[in-house]
Amino acid sequence: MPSFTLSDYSGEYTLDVEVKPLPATRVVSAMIWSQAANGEWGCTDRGADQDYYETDLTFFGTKSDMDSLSAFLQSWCRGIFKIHNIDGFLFMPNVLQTGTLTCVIPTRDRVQQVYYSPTETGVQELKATFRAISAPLITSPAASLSGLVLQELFEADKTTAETTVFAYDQTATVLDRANDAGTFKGHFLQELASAQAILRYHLETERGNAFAFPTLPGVEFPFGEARGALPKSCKSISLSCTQVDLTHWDIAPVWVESFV
Amino acid sequence: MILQRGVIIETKTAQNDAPRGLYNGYFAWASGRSFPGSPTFPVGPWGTQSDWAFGILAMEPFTGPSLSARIGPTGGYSSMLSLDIQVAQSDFMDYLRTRGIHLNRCRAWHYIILDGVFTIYGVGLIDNTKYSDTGTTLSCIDLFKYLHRDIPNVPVNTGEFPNAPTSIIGDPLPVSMGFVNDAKYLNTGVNNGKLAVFINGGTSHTVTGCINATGTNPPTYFLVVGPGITATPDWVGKTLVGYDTAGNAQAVKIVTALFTTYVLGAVTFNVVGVTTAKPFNNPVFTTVASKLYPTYWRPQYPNEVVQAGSESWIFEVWDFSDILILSQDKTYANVGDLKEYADDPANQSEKIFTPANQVQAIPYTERGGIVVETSNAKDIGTASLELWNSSYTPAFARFQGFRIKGLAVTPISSSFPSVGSDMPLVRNKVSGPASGYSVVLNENIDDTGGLSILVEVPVPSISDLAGGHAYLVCDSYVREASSSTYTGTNKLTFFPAIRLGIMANSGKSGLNSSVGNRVVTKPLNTIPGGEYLLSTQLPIKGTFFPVNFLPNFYFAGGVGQVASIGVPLLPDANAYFNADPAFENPNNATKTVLVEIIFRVISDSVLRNIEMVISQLGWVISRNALLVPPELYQSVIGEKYGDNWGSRRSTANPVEGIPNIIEDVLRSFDGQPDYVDTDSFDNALAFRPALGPFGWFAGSQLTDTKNSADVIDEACKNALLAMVPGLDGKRALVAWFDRMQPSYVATTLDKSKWTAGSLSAIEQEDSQDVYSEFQLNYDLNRASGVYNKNLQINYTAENDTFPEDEDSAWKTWVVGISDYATAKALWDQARAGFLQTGTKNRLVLDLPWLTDQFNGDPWAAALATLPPTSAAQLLLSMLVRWCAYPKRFVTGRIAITSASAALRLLDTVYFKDLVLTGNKRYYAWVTSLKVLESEIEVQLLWYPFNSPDEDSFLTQDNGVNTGYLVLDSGSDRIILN
Repeated sequence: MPSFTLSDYSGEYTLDVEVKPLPATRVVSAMIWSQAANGEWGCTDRGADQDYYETDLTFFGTKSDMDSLSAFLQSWCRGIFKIHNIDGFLFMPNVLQTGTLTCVIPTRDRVQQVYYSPTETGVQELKATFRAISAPLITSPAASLSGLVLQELFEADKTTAETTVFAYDQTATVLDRANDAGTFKGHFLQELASAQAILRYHLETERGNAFAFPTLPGVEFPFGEARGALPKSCKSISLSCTQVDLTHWDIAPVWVESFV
Repeated sequence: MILQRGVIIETKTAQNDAPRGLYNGYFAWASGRSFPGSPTFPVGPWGTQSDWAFGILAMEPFTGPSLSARIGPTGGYSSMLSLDIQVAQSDFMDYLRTRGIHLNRCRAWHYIILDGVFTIYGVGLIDNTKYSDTGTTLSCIDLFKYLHRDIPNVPVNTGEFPNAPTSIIGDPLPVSMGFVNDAKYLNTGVNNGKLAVFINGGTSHTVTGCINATGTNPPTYFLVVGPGITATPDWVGKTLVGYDTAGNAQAVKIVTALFTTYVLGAVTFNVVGVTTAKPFNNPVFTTVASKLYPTYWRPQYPNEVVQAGSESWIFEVWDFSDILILSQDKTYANVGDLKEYADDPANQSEKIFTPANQVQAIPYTERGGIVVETSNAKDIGTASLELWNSSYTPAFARFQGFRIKGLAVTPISSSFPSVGSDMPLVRNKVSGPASGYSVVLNENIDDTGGLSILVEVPVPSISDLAGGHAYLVCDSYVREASSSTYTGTNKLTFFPAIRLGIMANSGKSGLNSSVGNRVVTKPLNTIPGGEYLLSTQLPIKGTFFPVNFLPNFYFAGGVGQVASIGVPLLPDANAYFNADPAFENPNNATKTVLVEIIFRVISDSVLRNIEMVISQLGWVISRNALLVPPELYQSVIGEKYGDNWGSRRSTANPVEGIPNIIEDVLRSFDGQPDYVDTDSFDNALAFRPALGPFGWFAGSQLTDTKNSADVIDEACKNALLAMVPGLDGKRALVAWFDRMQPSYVATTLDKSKWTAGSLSAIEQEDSQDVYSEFQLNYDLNRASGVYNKNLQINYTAENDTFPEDEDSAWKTWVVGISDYATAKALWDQARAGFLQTGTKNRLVLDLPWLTDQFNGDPWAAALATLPPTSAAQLLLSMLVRWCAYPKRFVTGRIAITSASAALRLLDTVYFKDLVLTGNKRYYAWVTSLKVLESEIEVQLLWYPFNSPDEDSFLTQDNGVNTGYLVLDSGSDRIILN
């Protein structure tokens, strides 16, 4: 269960609050992907320093606590504030969270009563999204795709570029764009160190580039048999990372076939 | 079936970069990853493009192309193409910048590629480029957006037309196209002026003109050209050949053009004499004139003194009755003869006053003049004149000036022509020494000396001057003679003067022997009188213009004077040269203008040698009159192609009719011969023939600058034609209304074609495009800007039944059509439309391209046998049918196939659907095409009142109007197929 301290940017006011465990974390990458007419994906990258990390937090406590928090968020800290004394991971684990993070709240809800009870004793919640501004990133462990632990029910299929147009009398016209391209979607359950290495590989080392599709047990045709067996080149066009328990993170990339 | 899309984009460079798909200056990009089989690569300005790059275009690379045609209610040229091209590479704009490539205004050829077979589907012009994080969008507009040019685009300029009227400088030179002759304005000569003439333009334009002929035998053929002809400058200097009705070549002479300059370069003038004036007692004329009371009515004896040996003076007798002239002292021995000249031709005579007839009655009925002059340089003592009337009471007289006479100059310089000889015109250095002619007064002059040169200049013949303006220019100067002892150091006081007179009688050798010269003195374009170094050339310049404004009367302004009362210096601003009575005087068989160039110097000390030089003297005559009446702006009747037309047009097959005209605009004025869909134009010409029994006699003159697209649009609407962009970018001209025949049906769009669920609801045309009354204005008179004729169909909303034939009121219900049956049929058609639509709209169309010519070959001898129906009537019969009912629209999608990719705008198809048409088929036109990802969106328009499943549009069930309605000498209508 992460805990942390909020303070306004001057540090004059502080507030200790409780937050529900395993917040939803994500990275909004500055990489913009598009697909060309031959099926190849291309990336426009503004750079890692323009990635930003967000987390959806749910605060809870008594009405008094929530009122204080709400007042803090409304009056004291509109704009930029600081988070420090973080215990656990508020953001994805490739964000360095041992010091003070500068944050803003792009969205937040109003205080919500979640249990039927007298007002003064009942538990109330407040949901807000925190975005870390210029979040510092970890520098170790080294970026790597080794140790990937693929979960079952991965998608190793290919998409076809065929379209069938049916007339009123069911006359069919099949049109093939001749630009088939495969997509691999899977979930990897990783411990902290390997999760951090994988994240660094995607978001730093091979950021936007094509890389060799890793060897995964049971995955011989990651983009369908029509596209052939490994080795294949691929690009990661999407990535999510969610903490599933105190020691594991679920990393779910989308790897697309690369021809170049 | 493998479906790919491709595009070729020009870069206006010759660069190569295969990874980017740049080959020899053309980007060639395709979707997919490779071409299957053995592709048939497209051929174009790039040659054969077999190198294509994949992966440049975005996944959904094209929006469109979309093309549309608007054919209701009158056709025209409103269709355009749009196409967006998506490039996936985000650095593409940087790439273009570093390569120095600018894609705006570059062409883009779009292809649908099916199983490796390329089908061109739209050519656009890149109008805008925009880029984002993910790629670049190249937005294309119709190819011709910037290929159409403004016409006419040749301005009237003073360089090419130096004598063009000022009021039209900068205006566009009109362009005449098609049959624009109007015989009623030119009804002379052979065959009523209707004779085809072709100017052999060599490699440039050849012009068909309207000629007439003189009555001489053999006749001389004249090509009467209006200003429009001058817009084809290459005809100048070409051999002109005309053909008469028998096909025989005839030499042709251009009668006139609007801007023509005539410079008479062969005029010579005669040296009358060179004289000195010595002494100049009163060299300034005003002084002398004042002495002679020049501006006063003289109530009694003038009693003036003629200075000995040097003066003559001329005065005007102001009395209109008998005048007596007396010599007071009656000592004429030294005075010489007194001569008079009457300006009145009827009284023109010469009277010699001698001591024996010193008192004579001069029967003037008008003002006249008397010259009193000495015959030599003797001292004649004192003389005076008295003016008396017949009652011996003092007459009224007014002295108008005088002329200094004096000793002959001897010798004159050798370069100067001798007295009495001809001196070639110096003007423009036609001949004679470049430095001009000079005369040197070797006789030293004292402080009252002077020098004059008097020359006669023949007046050009009136026929040369008719309608023109003549300018007599004189450019001379005086300087110290080179032999002078005092060169460059001494000063003289300089008094220049120049006078112009008209010599009354022929055979006069000069001023000494002439009488009655009418003299005008003009202000001099020279330095003012004053003290100057004699080493300086002191100019004496004058321009008398225009000569046709010479005063009617003797001594109009007086010497040194401005015009005084009673003398109209500008008698008639509109007068032609021959309006001057002096030139009409039968006694003035030889007309001569006297030019006297005079200066006077006052020495600062001693004698000088003075040289006078004539550098220019002569006539400049120009015409800028439009001799033909303005109506003949429409005198040019056709223009054929030059080389750009190849074999499509020829001398015997010139530009005729609206399809030709539109093609001419594209080829000759837009300069786009490669973008003409010739098949479509030929097909349109088959329906809108220029000649033949049902020819569309069309032509006009473009006098105001407008974009050629607007010209085409206007021309299309004059003939119910539509111009659309073809899939290959070429302009196609379609007579869609006439193509509703089985032979033109390209395909049937039915349940096997329409994508399931794609057919839209059927829409009906807006009521605003449905008409029940009509007015067609045609036969535009370009000179007046007014349409001479119109056709009308009126009162279709107010009345049920067309009047009976005996009731002349029907001629106000249908105006302009003389045949009752035809008028009734048209009215009934319009009325039936109103009953169904309830729409009372009036379609008013201006038809500047349609003349009032009858149909058929206007030159044909058998013309009289053809039905006298104009193209405007043909158009009306179509419009009544086309516009009386609302058309219907439907939109659906069909899969992209080789067949659907071949559909073009305004193709005629059968539309059929189980529900929407009750499984009946209708003729319909393709009015919109838009390429989608896998399908083509098609809009159809059809006319709902013809019977479905019928192959002939002309046999519709309600058809009172079947095709063309043509008057046939009062007979029934003629149905054309």
